[in-house]
Amino acid sequence: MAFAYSSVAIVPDLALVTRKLTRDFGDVCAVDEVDLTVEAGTLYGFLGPNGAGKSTTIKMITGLLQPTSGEIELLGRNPLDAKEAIEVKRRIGVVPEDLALFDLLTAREYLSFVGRMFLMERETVQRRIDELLGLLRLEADEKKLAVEYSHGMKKKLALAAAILPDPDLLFLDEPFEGVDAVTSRVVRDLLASFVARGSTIFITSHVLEIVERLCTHVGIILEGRLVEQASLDDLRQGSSLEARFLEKVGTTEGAHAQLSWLESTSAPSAEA
Amino acid sequence: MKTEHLKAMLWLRWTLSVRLWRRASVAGSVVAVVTAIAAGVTAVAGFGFAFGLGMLLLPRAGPEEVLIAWDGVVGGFLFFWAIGVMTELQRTEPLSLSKLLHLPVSLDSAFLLNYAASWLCLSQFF
Repeated sequence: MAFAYSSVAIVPDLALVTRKLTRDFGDVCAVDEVDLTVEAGTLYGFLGPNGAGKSTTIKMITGLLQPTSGEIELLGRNPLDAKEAIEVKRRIGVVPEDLALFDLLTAREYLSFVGRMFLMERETVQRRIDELLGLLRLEADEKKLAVEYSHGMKKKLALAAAILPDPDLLFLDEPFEGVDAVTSRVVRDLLASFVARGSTIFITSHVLEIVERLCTHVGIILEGRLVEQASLDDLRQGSSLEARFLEKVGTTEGAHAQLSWLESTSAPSAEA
Repeated sequence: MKTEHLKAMLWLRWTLSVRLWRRASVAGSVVAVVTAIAAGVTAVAGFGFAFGLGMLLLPRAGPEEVLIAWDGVVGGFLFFWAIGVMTELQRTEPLSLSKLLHLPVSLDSAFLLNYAASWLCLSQFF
């Protein structure tokens, strides 16, 4: 069952706009003139197969990678302008693809460091850290170094760091990958309440079920080009998100038939 | 560049440096300490020996010997200075910038903070 966002106020402002956003790596065009439009107060799912350009797009938007060309408008500001970039970064939270944690810091130390970089008051930081560690079930392991954490725990820590400064816009690159079912539920509820209070979330995920439950709007990127961008209801049109997604990116139905050892219909015992 | 950012980076660098030191093997730590002490003693003894030798011999040396001595001093200085430059070049990015750029700092600030923090490292004391 999909989450209901009945408390979401209609906010006309756009949280994110990109115009002809492009990134080349030599002769390879990883992102090709992508025009994204994300309304404030929505949960936007950015979908695409592996290597489609999702992470490259997020990196450009969040300042980790310089675009080859194009424009970005983030919360009404231009993050490509050095003077405005810092102001924009103070209002966004990011869970990058590689999580960007420091292996030799404990969870509390890393979150404190992030709080200091956001120039937050120490008391506020400590209070929020207590709440986040409790909510994400990291309390018992808060004294362990990040290097000792499982991938799922690292993901939770990166998510806690992104949420800590209470950003207006949250970018999450595969937030549900490697996270257990209980935490996945907690994270989903957390993101839902985040959006309900007016913040905007931009997530990439391969888990279409979760995107279907959570997101209000969806964009699909394929080979660097944005092939679809619509509200979830408009995209599905009575069908499932998975069916529509496969339709857009090209279905792989029947691919198993290309494997010679799967083509045989007779069981081994019958052959013998 | 904000003072609070610099403090945070110095704290980060120091903490990581100490943790790395503690996690290193005991044998490695002992070798590093012995090497550092030996290097310090050699440097002080070498300076004292060269200074004494100069005081003893140079007053009686001719202009040519003095020039050769100066060439040696300048050559030695340039050699160690070049090693210092090479070390500096390798020390400018002790922490990956990609771990900092999603935080509210510019690329310039991240680079400068990273460089400044690199001075607060245990190996620098040796």
